[in-house]
Amino acid sequence: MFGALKVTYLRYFSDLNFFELGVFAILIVFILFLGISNAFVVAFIQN
Amino acid sequence: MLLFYVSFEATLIPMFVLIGFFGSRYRKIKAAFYLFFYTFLGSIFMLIGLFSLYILIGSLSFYVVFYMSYTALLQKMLWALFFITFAVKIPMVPFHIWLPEAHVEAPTVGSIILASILLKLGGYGFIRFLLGLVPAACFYFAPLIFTVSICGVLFASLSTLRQIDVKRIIAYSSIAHMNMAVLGLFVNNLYGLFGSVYLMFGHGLISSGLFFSIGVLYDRYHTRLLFYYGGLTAVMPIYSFCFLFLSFANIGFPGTVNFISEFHILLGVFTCSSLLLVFIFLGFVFTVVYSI
Repeated sequence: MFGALKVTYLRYFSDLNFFELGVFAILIVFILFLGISNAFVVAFIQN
Repeated sequence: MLLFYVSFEATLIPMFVLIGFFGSRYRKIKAAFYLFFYTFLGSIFMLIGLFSLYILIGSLSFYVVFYMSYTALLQKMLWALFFITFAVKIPMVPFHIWLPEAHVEAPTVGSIILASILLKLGGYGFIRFLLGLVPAACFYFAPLIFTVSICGVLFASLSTLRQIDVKRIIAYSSIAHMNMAVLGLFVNNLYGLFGSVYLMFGHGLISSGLFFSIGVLYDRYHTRLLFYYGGLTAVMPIYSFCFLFLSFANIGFPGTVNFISEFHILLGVFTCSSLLLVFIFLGFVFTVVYSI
């Protein structure tokens, strides 16, 4: 299991280290969350 | 308010150290002094404003100062003094020279702090001091702000088009976005205010993400020139996806935080003036052009 994960990481994600991947993941999730959640809020308020 | 001034000035010290000592090239000293003197000279106007308030009222407490009534002339004078200070910090276009220099020479951490926190000090000052303290003067000077902001957005966007240093591109993009935020603040409605605050928040995330991306590249290849990064997708696919996402977020792609803020600024500007909307829309188009 761990070996398979390691191979997958090396095959597809090795251009970034764990720290960089983590920062990008947090940023992307946060940006999407703020964008999509507020779109719903705005839509409900407008209607 | 004096404590605000002291804290406002104190932010210069760590940034000066970050750029001057940990910068990347020999021009870092020049960039550090640009940052220091632009902000410091800008802040002198605020100090004059604070002294004037103290002489007139006898206190610099927020509670006292905010509940006083001021004559129209005094409001305009205070507005001008505070405006120059925060316009340098945010930065608006006649006072923007320090920002690209500081960003280019700063290390990645310095750029992230500069983009995400320090520029927002200007926005905070606009909201708390100008909109809160002298609202009538804000209404009086709104056409001036609209003109300067629109010029700023267009000038920064057009300057971005001819840059070859990736960090400088993001720095000019920051100037364009912050000028849009200032425009939203002064349209005198809730849409604009919400859009501006949200744009500043979103810009803090996206711009710092973009600077982090450049830092990742610079660590590996030791150059920031755009020409060398053709075909990066083949070598760094995950990185390319993240950078593409952040660039899309920067132009206000639907589903991202900047879309909400830019939409609200457009709505606020449209409520205020339709002619202004044409120019700000042109600014948004240029944002897309330089990002692509």
